[in-house]
Amino acid sequence: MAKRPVQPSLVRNRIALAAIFSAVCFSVIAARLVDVMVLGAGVTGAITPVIVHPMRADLVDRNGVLIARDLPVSDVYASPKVFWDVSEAAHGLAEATGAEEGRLLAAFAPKRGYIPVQRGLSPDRREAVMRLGLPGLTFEDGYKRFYPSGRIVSHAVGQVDTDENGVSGLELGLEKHLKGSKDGAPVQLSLDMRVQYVLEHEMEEAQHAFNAKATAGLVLNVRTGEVLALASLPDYEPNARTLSPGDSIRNRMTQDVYELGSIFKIFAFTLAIEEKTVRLDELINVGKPLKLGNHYIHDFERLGPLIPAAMVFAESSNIGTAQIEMRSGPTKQKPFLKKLGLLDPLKTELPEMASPLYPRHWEEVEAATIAYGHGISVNPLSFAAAAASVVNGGTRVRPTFLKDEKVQDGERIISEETSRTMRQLMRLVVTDGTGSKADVPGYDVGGKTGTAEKAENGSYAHHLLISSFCGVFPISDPQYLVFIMLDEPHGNKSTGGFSTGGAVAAPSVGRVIAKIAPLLGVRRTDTVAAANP
Amino acid sequence: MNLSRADTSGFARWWWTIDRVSLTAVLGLMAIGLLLAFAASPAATDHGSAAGNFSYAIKQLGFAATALGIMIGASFLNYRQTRMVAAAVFALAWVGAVMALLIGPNVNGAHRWLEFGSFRLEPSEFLKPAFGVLAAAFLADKMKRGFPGEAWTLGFLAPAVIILLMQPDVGQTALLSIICVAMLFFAGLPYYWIGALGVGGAGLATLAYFIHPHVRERISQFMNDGGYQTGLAMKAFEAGGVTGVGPGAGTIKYRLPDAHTDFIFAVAGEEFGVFLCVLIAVLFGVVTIRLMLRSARAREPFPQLAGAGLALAIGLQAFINMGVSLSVLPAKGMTLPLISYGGSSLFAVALTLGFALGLTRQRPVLPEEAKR
Repeated sequence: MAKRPVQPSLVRNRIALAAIFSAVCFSVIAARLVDVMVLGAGVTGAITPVIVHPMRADLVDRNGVLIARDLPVSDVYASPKVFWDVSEAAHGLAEATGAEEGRLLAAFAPKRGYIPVQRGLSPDRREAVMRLGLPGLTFEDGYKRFYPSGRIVSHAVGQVDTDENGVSGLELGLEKHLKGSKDGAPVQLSLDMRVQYVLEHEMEEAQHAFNAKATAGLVLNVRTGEVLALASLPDYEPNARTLSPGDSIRNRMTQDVYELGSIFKIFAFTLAIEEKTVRLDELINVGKPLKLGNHYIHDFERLGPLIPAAMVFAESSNIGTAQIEMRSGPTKQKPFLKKLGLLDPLKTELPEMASPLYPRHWEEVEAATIAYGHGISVNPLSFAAAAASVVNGGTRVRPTFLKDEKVQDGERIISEETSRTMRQLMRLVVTDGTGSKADVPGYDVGGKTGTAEKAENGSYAHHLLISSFCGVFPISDPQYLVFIMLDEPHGNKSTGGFSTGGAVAAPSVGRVIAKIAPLLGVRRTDTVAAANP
Repeated sequence: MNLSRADTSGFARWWWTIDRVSLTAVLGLMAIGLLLAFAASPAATDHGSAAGNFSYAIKQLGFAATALGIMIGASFLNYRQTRMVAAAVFALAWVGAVMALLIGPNVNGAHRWLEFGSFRLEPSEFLKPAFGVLAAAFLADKMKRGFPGEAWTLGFLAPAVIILLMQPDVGQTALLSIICVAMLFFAGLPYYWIGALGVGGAGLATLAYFIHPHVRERISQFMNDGGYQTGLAMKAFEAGGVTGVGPGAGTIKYRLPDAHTDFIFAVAGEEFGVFLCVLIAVLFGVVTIRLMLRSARAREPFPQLAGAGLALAIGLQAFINMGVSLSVLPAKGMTLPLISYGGSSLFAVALTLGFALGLTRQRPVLPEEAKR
């Protein structure tokens, strides 16, 4: 022990010194805690306001028209402890900010804590609060998203929460673009507000005229995949914090799936023509209901008994289409629909996208019903993308909401030849078939009607329909697809009581085309003919 | 605990020789940390579209269990093993920090982390405990047989400081330097040297103030009634008052950036009131002072120096974090040991405490240890 160095006692003393110093430090912390939390010697002045979140970029349409912008607003908070008259403060603040006086009074009454008074005050209201001269107020300056078009295009654009984070629609889907935008450059969408106004106007007219539960529609560029307009009714006011009665934030174009009915015959005929299992002049027997297992397939109206295959499409015969489909059968049909993207959830910038529903057990009977659009449910946007892929020359179209005028080079699904034949058939629907009300002189509309009975309690309800029309123009060299769908329309005098797609949706699509074609610079075919007699 | 003092099994011997007061205080702090993780988690995971949830807290539960294992494991080591583990940890942490600098992701402008799946490890956190033990070993050797301990200590400090400054992490650099100076002081460095180092440190701080606009901004914020974060933190303490607004009922935490890490103390204040905050401060004081006094009583310079250095590392970090939250010190991002969210910090603190608890165990003078 004698050899042990003497330093340990020096070390011991110096560590003891550090221990004393530590005790002092922690006592300071404890004292400060009591001082701030019990004796209330904390900060008295307002804290330096700092903009917490960087601004979101503007959203503009394809022509630069403003769709969404951040405007400066302030949140105001109160420390009621320093109010000398709580009820006077509550009254003044309620008047200046529009907050509920009762809530403020209840929150201020205990005279403690830190109470949010109102969020999103405009600069002039902030000024009014300042003029109250109350102590203990804190302003937090930030931004609020403002949508100048209101309800128009509300579903596609979506909303942000109170902290300026996207919560739905493109505001959510393009969050990274909007937050990461360099030097605040606006994010340009594929939407065209002029087309959007026309589409929504016609949809509203139809919704009202036929007293439909809901209406959905879109205008799609079949070559670039750009969505020019997309709407869903009922809509909502994006500038309001709450929904009014009857409003809906549900985007029927993407968030719901439907059995779309006869417009699906487009795909049955495309497959049959591509596989060469049918000739257009071949006579098909549609005289009596088709028995499949213990199930009968009917037509809306009695046709035939023998009609050419082209007229099976134009007159929309379920019996004829089912027979033609069965020549290809489920082993051809399923991979074909998959190639068209109808069996997978669609990927676009819109986050709300419902997955398709189709039978796991997919045999002859299922193939026959799917041929005329029953037994498979897809969201309308997926349908429109698939239909565009059929008419644009036969290559896959992937819808986008960002402006990109480059023609998409999607994978080839069918031959150009098949695509051309399908366009002829779709023109025939308008000239000689169920879609005659969609015709617009000079713009050569082609299309297909759809009338589906809604499934209810396991069977189909005859009076509850999904009626739609998918129009394409100009059919010789298609540029745009216009789709409108009505959920549970009720026919009126103008339609002779009919609620079918040809009666309620086709006229609206025709009117949309008549109005937007000149805006979009689509040339009339008849003027070309007149100029070159 | 039903263990006989006569029981000579490994665990029983550990139990009867460990400092049970410090151990209890540490476990108490860990329990408070978990409680606060559940309070702060909804705010930390709240991102507008998705409502906040308890995923942070659940993860922290797993981290705490691992940390407990690290701490108990480290406290079983004897002096020799402690030195060897510390040397290995120092080497690994340094190499890890270099790798983080080269291949690690950029998080808010700093390259401090290595990614393992969803878990991010910050290797440089482990430099502190390892350095404390190694410096103690060098300085103790110097006292015993004239080994150039100071030179070796500074020789190991240099690479650690260089890598920390490259990340960059000024806070950790300062912490490590202060620990180093304190250990030189414990080891008997004359007072005039300490004075010279103090003047040098003040000079560096002044230089930083004039060169770095960031540092200047922090200081002027501190002088002028606080910045945004510290202002909100003060509001949180004020709102909490004596009783707190109740678990989960805090509102300021949703607007307070880093509520679950650097400003967890403010969340504790808002929701649980002054008693929990004072309890946290007292527990840190107990752990720091107990471990220092136990180290001081050791019979050899190595456990004395290492134990005190490690205790200082914990105490200093806790003091700075709480001081910043309470606007006693200028803002400097630093986690609150055992309580802030995060695996790396918790594991490193567990290693620090494990070493310290192991070094301060009561030891009979065994012949083989006396020789070392």
